[in-house]
Amino acid sequence: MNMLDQTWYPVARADELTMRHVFQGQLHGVELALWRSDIGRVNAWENRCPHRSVRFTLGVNTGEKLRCQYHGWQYRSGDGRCTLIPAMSEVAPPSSLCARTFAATQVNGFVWVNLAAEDKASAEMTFLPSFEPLPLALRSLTFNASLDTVAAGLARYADGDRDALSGTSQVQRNDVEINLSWQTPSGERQVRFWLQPADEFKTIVHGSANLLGMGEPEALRWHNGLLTTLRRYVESRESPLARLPSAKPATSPRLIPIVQSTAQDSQLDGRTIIRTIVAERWNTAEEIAGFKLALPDGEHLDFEAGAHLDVHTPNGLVRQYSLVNAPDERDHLVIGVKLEPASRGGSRSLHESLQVGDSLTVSAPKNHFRLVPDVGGVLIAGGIGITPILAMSTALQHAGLPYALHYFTRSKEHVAFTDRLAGLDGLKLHTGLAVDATRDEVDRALREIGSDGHIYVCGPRPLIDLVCERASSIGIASAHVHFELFANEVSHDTDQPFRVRLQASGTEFVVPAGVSLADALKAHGIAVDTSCEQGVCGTCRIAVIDGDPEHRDVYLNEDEKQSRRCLMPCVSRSRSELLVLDL
Amino acid sequence: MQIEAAVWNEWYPVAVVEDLKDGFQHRTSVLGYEIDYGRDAEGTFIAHLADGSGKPCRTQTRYHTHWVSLGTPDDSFFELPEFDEADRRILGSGSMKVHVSGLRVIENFLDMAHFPYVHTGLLGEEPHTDVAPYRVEHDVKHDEIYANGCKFYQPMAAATATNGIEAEYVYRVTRPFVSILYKTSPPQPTRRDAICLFVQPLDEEWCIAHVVLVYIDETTSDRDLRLFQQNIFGQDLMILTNHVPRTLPLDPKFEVPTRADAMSAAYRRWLHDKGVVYGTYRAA
Repeated sequence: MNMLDQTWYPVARADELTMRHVFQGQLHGVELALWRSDIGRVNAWENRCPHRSVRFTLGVNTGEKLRCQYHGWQYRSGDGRCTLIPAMSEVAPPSSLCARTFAATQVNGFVWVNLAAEDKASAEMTFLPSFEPLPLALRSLTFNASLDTVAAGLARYADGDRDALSGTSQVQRNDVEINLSWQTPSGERQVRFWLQPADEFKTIVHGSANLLGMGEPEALRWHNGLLTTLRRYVESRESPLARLPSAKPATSPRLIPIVQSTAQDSQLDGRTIIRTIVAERWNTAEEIAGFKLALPDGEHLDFEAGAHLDVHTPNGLVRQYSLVNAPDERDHLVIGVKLEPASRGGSRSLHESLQVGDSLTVSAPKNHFRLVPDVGGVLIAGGIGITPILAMSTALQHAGLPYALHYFTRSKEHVAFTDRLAGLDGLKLHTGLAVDATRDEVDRALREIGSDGHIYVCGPRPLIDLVCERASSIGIASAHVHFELFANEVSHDTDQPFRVRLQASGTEFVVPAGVSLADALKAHGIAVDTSCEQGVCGTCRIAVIDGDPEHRDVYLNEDEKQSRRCLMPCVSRSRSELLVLDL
Repeated sequence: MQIEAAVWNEWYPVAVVEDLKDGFQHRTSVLGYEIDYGRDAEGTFIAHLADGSGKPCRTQTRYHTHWVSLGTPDDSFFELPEFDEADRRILGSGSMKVHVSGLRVIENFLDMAHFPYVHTGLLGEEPHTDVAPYRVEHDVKHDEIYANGCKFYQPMAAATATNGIEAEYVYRVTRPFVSILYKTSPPQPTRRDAICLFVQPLDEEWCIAHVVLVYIDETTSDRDLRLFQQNIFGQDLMILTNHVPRTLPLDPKFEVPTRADAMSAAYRRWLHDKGVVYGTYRAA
């Protein structure tokens, strides 16, 4: 097959992509995993997970993601980006990790795929089949013959109708669509076929017909009989190669290796830095400012409830803030910042200096506080701890899972994000309670929990300790209690910035703390091939001429590390102030 | 095809000792070559090519297994001192034929991240999915690789387990198609049980996995030990037969590893450095 062939082909009947199902299709020798997300988007992906090449069709369609059966990696509908690696659940997967997607759309009761279309969105919008389906949907039948042989055979469909008036058969063919009509004494009969070339010698024939004069079961039987006879005839005319039963298929599945994107792509997922613009700011509660941050260029991010960001404050510090976003809010970021009087001024600088229109640098979202999938829970928030808890409660409500949100604040004026809270059915607000009363409410809340439910708590240390202790005293397993502690005093990032010189050009620049050497090189236009972005695969290895590398990878052996002649820029840094690279 | 020395001059298992009866001959393949093998009436293990030449293959019986070589392996067989310990239970727990390259079977054996998804409720379960960092070490003298300090939460780590534990594992790869897993022995926690995976490559896309257990266990029956292992293997079988391609790619851009795959990445690198090509994926 000519890969420049921009043809759209049918690969399945639309009703074969049932809810939460993954359907296996085949087109020109390429195996496809076909699935529909709950909001209706059709996905056609190469049937191969980029991790260890296991078929996606063994996996699970969760409604939004396709989960590979081997290690549970999740890929989102649409662009196929990997969004979760359970073995490293706190790290955002590298942006290069993506299913191989093809242009796909559903029209006229069929799912169509275009393997070659580059601009998928535009191809999907402009595609229109030539023929509408007819009222009677025929059973799809597999012919062991090439597309052209099948098309030639189907042109003689009317020959199988004893009632056909000779000379009246008319055939129109447009690529893979064939329209046939002929006259009989009782009127015109019409049949339409859509051909799917699964591989070189296997074509799937999808069809529909008009009923004319017959009841539906009778018409179906009539057409099936005709098509089956025609199939025998067509297969006998195909080359002997196609008919060998035990021979290897003439074309084995074509493998499409993962294409690595390099320097120039904008990659917002992963551990990159994002420059946001403050779109809105407001006082959401006493001492708590809400900020809505717009993402550059209409991008959107993928993260789950409970995620947080590193925020680079105007006065040069790095502080973590949780994202309040609801599950369908992914094109901007919403955080709540509490004014901490006894701190080094990070929150103060945000409160006092950050205005609408200012830019604010943040990290890509990270998540150490995830919801356990598919179970409900009891969520407890104290003060500013409401921020991740609000996102998680909203997510549970959207998913239809049972939950109860207990929000403890000093007073009514300290209740934040009241507009978002108003939408939550499971909210119980507790304001101005003393320690004993708080403990009683926590006890009451914990007793509501079902046997498989989980507890999520975020807020001041005493509240977290209280919940853990009360849960343990009534026999709830500690594996079912999850908490996030806001420790905004010191960033855990101990990275030191360092200078890099590129030997070939003499260019020098600084690699700041929190930015990987590979990302810094890419930002300066040096194409660095990366793959795992975790220091394990060896792809990004570069040569070092001078300086003292700080190795953080697990790929190089001891000799290579001690030689100081190479390093893995995706994770490793420099102990010396200057690192000279052979680039 | 010309098979590289690193693969040709190696020993390959064809049968576990307890599965053969004296005086019977059997046919199998190794590296694409058909061979006839068996124990004669006196119990001596013999094998020769089945191509009509009758050319004998080198043979060895060690570690409860019969091995053949088509080439000229050197004198050093890898060491498994556990087999010499008098109080050990040594038994085969099955020889399973799989439609995949033997190298992928070894790599699956070295992986823990799939436990919560493939061996749910036994060797792992959600939400305990994170793989804690472990140490990959290269024993340069013997040219073997180890994953030391592996830990994983297991709801039912063994046939005898009654509740979940944090299991401690050591993985060892001694040859391209040989790996051993060591886990703490419950009755005697200072010693380790071993599960040996001896893989016989039938050709580049088919293999037989021979599994031999070397346990300290006075209570569990042979049947229960075997059933547990075979249950686990059966779960892996569905995954192993669905790799596309069946052969193992050594290019790290073709399949993307994570930090949890440090041992498998080291295994692929080790194969590459040894010059192993047989059973690996080569783009057409």
